[in-house]
Amino acid sequence: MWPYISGIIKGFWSLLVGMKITVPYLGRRAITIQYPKQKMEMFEAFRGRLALARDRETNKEKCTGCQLCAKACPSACITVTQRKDEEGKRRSEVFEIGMSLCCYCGLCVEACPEDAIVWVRDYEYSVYDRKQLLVDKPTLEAIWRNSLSQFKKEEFNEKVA
Amino acid sequence: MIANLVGRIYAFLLGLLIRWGLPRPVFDFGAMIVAGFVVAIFIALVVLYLIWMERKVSAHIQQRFGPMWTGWHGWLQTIADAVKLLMKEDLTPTNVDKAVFLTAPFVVFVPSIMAYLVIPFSATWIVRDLNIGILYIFAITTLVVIAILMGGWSSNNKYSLLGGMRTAAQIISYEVPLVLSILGVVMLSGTLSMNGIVQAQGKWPWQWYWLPQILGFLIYVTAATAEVNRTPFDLPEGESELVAGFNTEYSGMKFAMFFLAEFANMFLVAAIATTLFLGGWQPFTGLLGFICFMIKSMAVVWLLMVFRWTYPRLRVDQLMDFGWKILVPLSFVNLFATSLIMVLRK
Repeated sequence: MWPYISGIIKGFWSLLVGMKITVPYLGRRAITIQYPKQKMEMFEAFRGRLALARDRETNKEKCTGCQLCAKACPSACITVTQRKDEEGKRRSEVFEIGMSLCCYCGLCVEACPEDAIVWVRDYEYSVYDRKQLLVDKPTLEAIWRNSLSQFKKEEFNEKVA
Repeated sequence: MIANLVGRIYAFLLGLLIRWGLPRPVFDFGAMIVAGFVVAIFIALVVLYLIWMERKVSAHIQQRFGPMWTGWHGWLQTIADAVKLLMKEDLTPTNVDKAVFLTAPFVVFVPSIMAYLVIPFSATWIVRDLNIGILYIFAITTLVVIAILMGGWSSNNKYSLLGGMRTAAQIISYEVPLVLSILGVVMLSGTLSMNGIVQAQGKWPWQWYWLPQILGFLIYVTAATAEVNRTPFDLPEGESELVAGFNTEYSGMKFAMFFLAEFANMFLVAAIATTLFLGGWQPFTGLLGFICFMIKSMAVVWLLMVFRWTYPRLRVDQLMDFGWKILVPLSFVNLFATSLIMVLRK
């Protein structure tokens, strides 16, 4: 008789223990990020999108058109040609990245001696047309300019400049 | 006040139409149809709210938000879903027993709408205060099992059939402790009328029957959870075992009817719990009493929802064990203890 009664009491008690877990959770704040309304701050090493940086003070191109990034790229999606600017310095003429081929490995960023090709922490870059995935030089620079607001200044100096 | 107004309109229309030569039975029939409509609309509104509440409670227990975009905190989500269900193709599988398959969703809704007729929402807000109200409710709500079995059987699908059979076994088993658990209340109040039971309870919480009938209340809540097929007793539609149980083959509006009936029944058992154990519309009458009643019922519904998102489903044998070996003896103990105390106190 006693095991039966104690079983009932224990069972009832265990139900209360279960409620003790779930009911306090009911009062807690939800941790969901309401995506289009709220956006997540991406972490520092996030490989979002490739961009072409300029010098922040002088606004001069950093890229020398050396093609090291194109050589480092395992999927060969970077096309660079070189030219000389009016001061006689080497700059890139064409700079195109086929983002549909890019595997986001970041070898180009590591290879770049001038820190000209960089990651930005932008993650909303879907497009409606496949042609738009072939990103040219002005677009790459525009991406970098847009991303400046995402970076805090110190971080910017460390990472980009 | 509102009840007064309704009474006046009723008397006015009665006088007018009878003077115009309308036979009394025809008038009564019309009044019944109007009352039925009012109850149906009330059920629809409550169910709309409950579905939203269910999603919110489940979401917040899991630290989610639930619906947030349709209206303020997603309160229009249920309406959006209902519209979506209405627009869906009305699909009937080839090999089903058509007549039964098509009627089952409507049969399932009839008992719940009928049971609402004797619920005292406030002192005078009751469609018909039958003197056997509580007996009537339990007689009527047992019909739900037939509808579910109809749906499960006619679907010609093994999962539906299993779900339907499980419902039959479950509801019939749990009907026993359910009825036994309310007998204590009936003995204490000395009446079967729903309004009479509320009036027999005093004005304040410590006078209500949940206190002297605490065991009966707990048994009632447990058995009621099983009656409305909610987790942890949701074997008839256990998703992980039976796809969707008896409503596997149902879609669109027919599925919506099952869904509506499920939530209507959930509110119904909460309303009965409120009436029998939590003092119904006490301590107020009129509109305030109605608000009181709704708050108490929603609290019970909330409890059922927390159950659902806390406890895992029982196995079939555990279900039967629990029903027959624990709930039934306990409700007998409750019944005997209540009668013993009543006799000794006399």
